[in-house]
Amino acid sequence: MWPFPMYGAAPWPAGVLVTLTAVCAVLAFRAEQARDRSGGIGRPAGRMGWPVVAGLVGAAAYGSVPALLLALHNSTGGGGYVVTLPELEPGGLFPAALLMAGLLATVLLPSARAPRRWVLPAVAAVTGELLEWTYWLTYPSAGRGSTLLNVMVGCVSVPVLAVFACAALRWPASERPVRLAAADVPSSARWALLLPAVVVMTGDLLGLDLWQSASPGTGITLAVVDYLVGLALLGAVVVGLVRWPRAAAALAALGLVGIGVYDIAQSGFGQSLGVVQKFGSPRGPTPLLPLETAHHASVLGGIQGTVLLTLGLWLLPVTVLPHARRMLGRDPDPALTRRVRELSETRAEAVGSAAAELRRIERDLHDGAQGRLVTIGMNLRVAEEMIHSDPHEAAALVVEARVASAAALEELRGLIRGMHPPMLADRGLGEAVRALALDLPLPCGTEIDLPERLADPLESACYFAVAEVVTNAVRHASAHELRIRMARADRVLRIEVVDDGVGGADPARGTGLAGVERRLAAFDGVLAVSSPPGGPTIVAMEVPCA
Amino acid sequence: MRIVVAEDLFLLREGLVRLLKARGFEIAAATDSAPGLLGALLDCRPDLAIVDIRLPPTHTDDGLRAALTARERIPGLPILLLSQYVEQIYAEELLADQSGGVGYLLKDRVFSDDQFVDVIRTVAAGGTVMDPEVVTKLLGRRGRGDREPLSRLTERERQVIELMAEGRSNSAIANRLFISEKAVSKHSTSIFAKLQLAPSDDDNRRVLAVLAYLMSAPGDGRTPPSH
Repeated sequence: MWPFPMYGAAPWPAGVLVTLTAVCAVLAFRAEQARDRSGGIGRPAGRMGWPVVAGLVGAAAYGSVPALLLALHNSTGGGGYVVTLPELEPGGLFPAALLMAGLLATVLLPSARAPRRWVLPAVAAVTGELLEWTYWLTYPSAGRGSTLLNVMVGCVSVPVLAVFACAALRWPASERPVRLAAADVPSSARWALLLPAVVVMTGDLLGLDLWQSASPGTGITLAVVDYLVGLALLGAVVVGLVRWPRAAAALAALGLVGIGVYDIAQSGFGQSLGVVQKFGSPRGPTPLLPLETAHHASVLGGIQGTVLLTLGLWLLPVTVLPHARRMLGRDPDPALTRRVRELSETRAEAVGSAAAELRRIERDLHDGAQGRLVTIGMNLRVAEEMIHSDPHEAAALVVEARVASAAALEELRGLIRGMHPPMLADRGLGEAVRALALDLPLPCGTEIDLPERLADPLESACYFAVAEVVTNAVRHASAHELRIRMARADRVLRIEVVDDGVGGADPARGTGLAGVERRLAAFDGVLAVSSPPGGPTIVAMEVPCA
Repeated sequence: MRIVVAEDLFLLREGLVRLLKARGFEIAAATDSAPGLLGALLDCRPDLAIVDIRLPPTHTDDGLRAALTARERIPGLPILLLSQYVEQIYAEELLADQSGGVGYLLKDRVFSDDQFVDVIRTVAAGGTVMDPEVVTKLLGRRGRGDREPLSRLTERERQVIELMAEGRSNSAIANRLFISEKAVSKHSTSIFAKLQLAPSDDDNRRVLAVLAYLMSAPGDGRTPPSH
C-alpha cells in the first residue's frame, strides 16, 4: 500500500509521509499562484502544474486512508496484520518518491539556474533509495523481503546517486539565464508527475520493479541482476522522457488511466457493482487474509485505482486529447498555431514599422529638401525678375539658391543613408558594415566572412541591427573599442558586436535593443545580450539565411 | 585636354559636358554605362576620365570598377570619381596603387565650377584630390586614440593637414587660411616631423603620404578589401 506496505506497525511512517506530501502540495500550490501572478497564465504548458497540485492533494488524501484504516484496526483490536497487497500497488514507493522529489526540487529551487534535465530523476532516485532504506531499517523484523543485500545496495546506491544529484545541481546545463520557476516549472512538474507513471507502467508491464526487494532465497546473483535490470529500465525511461517528452507524457496519462481501471477491476470494487470478478494476482497468490481485512484491502485497491484513474483522466486533456484532436483534424497543430501567431505578430510589426518609416521620410522630405527646393524656386524667380534691374542683388539670390540646393542635397544624402545605405546596395552587408565601422568615432575592428550576398531585405535588416547596436555602444557604453564579427555558417548568419564599455545593457529596458530584436524577429532571427555590470557587452545575433 | 565623361543621368551628363566645353576642355566621349566607359577609356586614351561611381548595368559601383580596370591597363590614367556619397572604402581602393592622378569628389562640388576646374587640372596633371568629407572622416578615424601622434598636432596644423589631404598646394592652403605660404611650409614641416613622415617638396607625393598615413590605422584588424 502506498507508500509503505504496512505490516501491523505503528501508523506514524505513513502519517509522516502523508504530511510531507501535503506540505509539498501546499508549496506547489503557492508556487503555482506566484507564477500566475507574474503573468505566466493561459499558456497550455502553464496548466500542467495544477494537475500536479491536485495529484499531490489526492495522493495525500489517498495515503491517509491506510493510515486511518491502520489506526482503526489497531483500535478495534483487529490484530496487527492490516493490509498489504503488492499486486495492487502501482509501484507505491517509487512514484511517491519521485512525485515528492520532483515537486520539492521544483518548489525549493525556484531561483536556481536551469539544471540539467536529469536532475529531477537523480533527486528522485536518491529520495527513493533513502525511503527504501529507511523502510528496511524501520521494519527490520517485519521485512519479509529484507535481506542484507537490500541494505547494502541502499548503502552503496544512496551516496552514489546523491553525488550524481549534487553534480547535476552544481553544474547547470548552460549559462542561459533561465530560471526554473519562470521557464521550467511546468516541465519539471510534468516530469515529476509523469516520470513515475511511466516507470511504474513499464515496470509493471515487464514484471520488474526497481524498488521491489528480491524475495528471500532468490539468490544474490539474481537479486543483483534484478536490481541492475531495474536500474537500466529506469535509465531507458529517463532517456525516453528526455528524447520524447510529449510521447512519454501521453503514454503516462494513458497508463494511469489503464492502471486505475485495472486496479478498480482487480480490487473487486466492481464486484459490488456486479460487473467484474476479482482477478488473481500476476505476482503470485494473494496472501491469505482475514475476510474483513481482505474486504478493506479491496476497497483500498479500489480507492487507489480511482485516484489513479482520476489523475489519468485529468492529464488526458493536456496530453493525449490534443494529439487525438489534431490527428482527427479537429485542432490545428500547436506548433503551427504558434508559428502563425509569431508570423502575424512580426508581420504586423514589420508593416507598422515600414509605415512609420515612410511617415518619417515623408516628414523629413517635406520639412527639408522640399522646403529648400521651394525656396530655391522662389529665389530664382525673383532673381529672374531682377536680373536686369538689379543684377547685383540677382547674383546674390542665385548664390543663395545654390547654397540651398547644396543643403538640400546634403539632407537627401542623409535621408538615403537612413533608408538604404549606398554601400549596402553597392557591395552588400559585409562591406557596408566595414564602412560603418570605419565611420565610427571609436576604433572598431571587423572580422567579416561573407563570401556571398544575401537577400536584400535580410541584408538591410542585419545592417540596421548592427548599426543600432553599434550606436548604442558608442552612445551609452563609454567604450574605447568595438569589435564586429560576422560569419555565415550552416545557413545561419551570426553577428557579434563586442564592446569594452561599462556593460549593463538590457533589452528589456530602453527601446534600442528591443527594436533590434523585433527587426530580426521578422526574419526568425534572435538576439542575445550578455552585459554584466562593468562590461564587456556582447550582443550576439543569429539570423537564418537559406 | 581630352576628357571622357561617364554619367548615367542625362541632364547631369549634358550639364557636365556643357560646363567642361565652356571651360575649353575637349570631350572625347560621354557615356552612360560602365562597359561604355571602359571601351571609351581604352579607345580614346583621354587625359582624364570623370566617372560616376554608380553606373549601369548593375547600378552599384560599376563606374569605380570600370575605372580601376582601365587604370590597370593604362597605368596612371587620371580618374576623377564623382558620387552622391563618399565612402572611405572607395577612397582606399582608388588610392591603393599610390601613383596619384586620382580624385574623389561629391557631385555637389561641381557647383563651384572654378574649384571644379582646378581639381580637373590637378588630377589630370597626376595630382591627388580628396573630397573634404573623405578627409574629415579619415581624420576622425585617426584621431580616436589619445596617444595618436595626430592628437599632438596644433589646431592650425590640423587645418593645414586637412587641406593638404584634400590635395591642395601650399599656395592654395595659404590663401584659404589667410596665412603666408612660408607659414604653411613651416606647418607642414612640423606636421611631417610629428607624424614621422619623410618630408617632400612634391605636392602630390606629400598628399599621398598624408593619405596613406591617415588610412593605415594601426591595430585596426580590418580585413583587406575583397576587390
